[in-house]
Parts: sequence; C-alpha cells; structure tokens
Amino acid sequence: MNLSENDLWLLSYYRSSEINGALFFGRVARTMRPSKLQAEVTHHFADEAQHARYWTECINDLDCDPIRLRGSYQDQYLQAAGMPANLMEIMAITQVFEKRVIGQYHQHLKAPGLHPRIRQTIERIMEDERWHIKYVRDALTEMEGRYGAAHVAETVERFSQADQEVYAKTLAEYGERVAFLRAEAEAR
Amino acid sequence: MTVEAASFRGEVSDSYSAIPPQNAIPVLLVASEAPLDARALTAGELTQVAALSGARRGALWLTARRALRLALAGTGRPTDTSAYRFPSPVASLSHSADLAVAAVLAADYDGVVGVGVDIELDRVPDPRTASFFLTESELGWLESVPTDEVPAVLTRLWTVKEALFKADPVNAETTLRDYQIADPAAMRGRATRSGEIDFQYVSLARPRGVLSVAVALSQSSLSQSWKVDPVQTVDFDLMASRISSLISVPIERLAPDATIAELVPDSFMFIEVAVDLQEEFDVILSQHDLKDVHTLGDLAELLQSRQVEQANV
Repeated sequence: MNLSENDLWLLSYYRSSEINGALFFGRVARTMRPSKLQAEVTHHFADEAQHARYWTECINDLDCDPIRLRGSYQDQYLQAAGMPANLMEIMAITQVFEKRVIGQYHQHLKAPGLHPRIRQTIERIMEDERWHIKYVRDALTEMEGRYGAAHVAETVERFSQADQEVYAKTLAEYGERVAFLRAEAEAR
Repeated sequence: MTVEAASFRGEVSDSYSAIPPQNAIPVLLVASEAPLDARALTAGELTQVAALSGARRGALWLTARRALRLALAGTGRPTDTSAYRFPSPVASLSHSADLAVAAVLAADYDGVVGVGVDIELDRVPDPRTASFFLTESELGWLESVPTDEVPAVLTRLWTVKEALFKADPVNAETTLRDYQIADPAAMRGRATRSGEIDFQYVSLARPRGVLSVAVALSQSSLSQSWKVDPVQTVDFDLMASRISSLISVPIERLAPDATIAELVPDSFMFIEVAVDLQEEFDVILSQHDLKDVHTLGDLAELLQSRQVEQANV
C-alpha cells in the first residue's frame, strides 16, 4: 500500500465530493431550459464524474481501494448556507465552492512529499476547475440583469461566509487527516 | 471541447497518428525535414515557389509544403497546397531550423474556424521581449515562475501566442498581446482575443523545444441560439404533473393539501423541483419564499402570484 490511512481517506473524500458534485449538476442540468448555460452545466456535470473517475484510478494505481464515504463537503455547505432556491443561487454557491476546490487542490500540491501520481491527478482536475469558475462567473454576470447586481453580490457573499465557516469546521473535525492544510491555514 | 494533437513519432520522420479522443478536436500533425520533390509540384505550387527569392526560402517552403501535403492526404483532403490560404480554417504551417510542421484538422467540425501551429526548436525568446507578446496578467503570472524555468516557459508561451494568431481568421490587425491565455501555466487550455473569439490550444514538449497547436471557435458555436419553449401559465394540475415526473410519485397522490416535506424529503430533490418549476413557469423564487411553503397548494399559489408580479415588472 502506497498511501497512508489519512491520505487514502482524503483522496476518497475528494472522490466522494466529485461524485456528489456530478449528481448535483446532473440534477440541475435536467431541470434547465435549453440554453448555453444548460450546455455548460451539463459539461460541468460530466467533468465532475470524470474527476471522480480520475480519483478512483489514482487510488487504485497506488494499490488501494477508495473508501466508501457518504458525506461530502457540499452537504455541509447546504447545512450552513441553506438550500439554493433558484438558478442564480446555484451558480453563486457553485462559484464559491469551485474557488474553494481550487484553493484546496493548490494547498494539496504544496504538501511535502506529495506522490507524483496524486500531483498528476490534481493538476489534471485543476484544468477543468479553472473553466468552471469562468463559466459560472460569466453566468452570474449575465444573471445580474434579471436578479439585480446587488442581490447577486449579496448571495455570493452569503455563501462565501458559509464556506469559511464550513472549511474551518472541516479542518477542526478531521484533525490529523488534513494536518497539512491546517498548518497552511494557521500560517496565514 | 478541447483540441487534441497527434504527437510526433520522431523529429525526422513523417508522422501519421491522428488521435481522436472523445470530446476533442483532433488535429493531425506532420513533421518533415525533407523538401517536396519539385517534379511533384502542381501548377499553382510552381507559381508560388517561383515568387520566392533565395534558395534557402525555397527549400524551407518545399519542406513545409511536403509536411502539409502529407497531412492533407492523411486527413483525406485535396492535396494541392496552393489552394490553401492562411489563415486557414483547416490547416497551418510552421518551421524552425530545418524542420517544418503542418497541422490539419482531422475532420470538419462545426464551429472551428481556424487552425494554428507553431514550433520553436533551439531558440529561447529574450526575456526582455516578454512584454511584447504577453498580457499584463500573463506577465504577472510569469513573475511567480522560478527563474530557471522562465526560458522554457517563455518559449512555450511564445508558441501558444503564435498558434493563436495563426488560428485567428481575422488576425490582420491583431498583435500577440491581444490574445489572453486563461491559465498560462497549463499545457492545454483556453484563450480569447479581446473577448471576441475563443480558442483551445495544446502544447507539446519536444526534445529541443516546444510545439503548440490552437483552434479558433466561432462565436455561433459559443453563443448558439436555443429554441425556447413557451412559458406556461401556472396551474395546479400542470405543476403537479411536473412534480410527479420529477419525484416519481403518482399524480393522484399530489393533492393541494399534500405536504412537501413528506413528498420530497431529499433536499437535493427539492432544489431540483424548485428550479424545474421556476424554469417552466419563468419565475424567480427565493429561500425566503420557500420557507413559508408547506403544501403543494401553497407552492402553486406562490408560483401564480410570482408569475403575475414578475410579468408586471
């Protein structure tokens, strides 16, 4: 086995979060009217499913099997910030979440002694994550006309605050499993 | 959608390995170090080569045309290279030292309006020239690159910019600084020109340098017009019908006094129902609105009132 117990747990957590993301965006995609945004959300849904596959393959390549985890980061988000009630709120929470994902993967890339296979997987996923942030940002800008720029900004801010709360809670809850992230957060 | 380029088998030999991955735009790359046999030139090619001055230019031209002809043949396109004008929607050429590279779309793709390729071997741009081909944000990112990696990064970014320029169907008045790479660190990704045209590119490391291929995407492929279904007027039966299909509960059970919490205990499912109804009836609901909704009758009333209110705005 090439992974420590904590590393296996973290990679499995990533995998679980990607699966939940795929399921979430799949559901959103099928409710939307045909539009450019629907096409992008469908693309996003496919990306998340692919990312879950990348993590499965990465874990397998390191001679382990993913741990079956039910919970994910997204679940805690929704508890903290409440359910998004419309498409704009879904895009707002997505923007905040995607930024957190990129930040998290960036932090992980800095972890000492990172296995090259894990680095490769993160870098591959991050290529898509950057596009996710761009299309969501563009969608929110476009939605300002319908929902109001101030309301969009307030919603993003509300979810950003929830994100910080959830992230702090996650670091506290999972303790040693994510020790390298806590060290980064405290160093700031 | 991404651009996917075939990789070389070797610097000297010609390559014929188009890779058609899913969701990608395959581009066939062919490299050549040998010139096209002058006896094989078409009338159009003879005219073009005759207009070139100097033996060196002529030799390079013939080498590039050999690569292009092989790539065209490999993709089943007409092989008279004089029929292609650059920038071209399907082909591009580049050479460095004595090596020429041709890039040709492996098939026709709706929405692809240009192809560009650039190769640099044994050459590194002077770092002082970076400000002439990189945007402010790209230069900002470059500052974070370790000093010893800067030459290789600059060479790669130069080839990306050149490939973008060549792929741009209306590049007559553009400069390399007009092209913005979304993520300068990425070996493959997206780029734009002043928000007007989008590109996909991929860079391939070569033993003596780097090669980049780009495709330009039409605005029509980016902002496709979508058929919009007519907006429905809210009525309870129509709402119940949609909810029934979403949550797989027989419509007979969906009476106005049915409680939502019992019907849709899964919160993700509730988001799906809420968004679906807003899309169907073209209304906006907020978290605050939904807090006071307990039964399907409440929901129908809310949708009806919002539809009337928002139609009057």
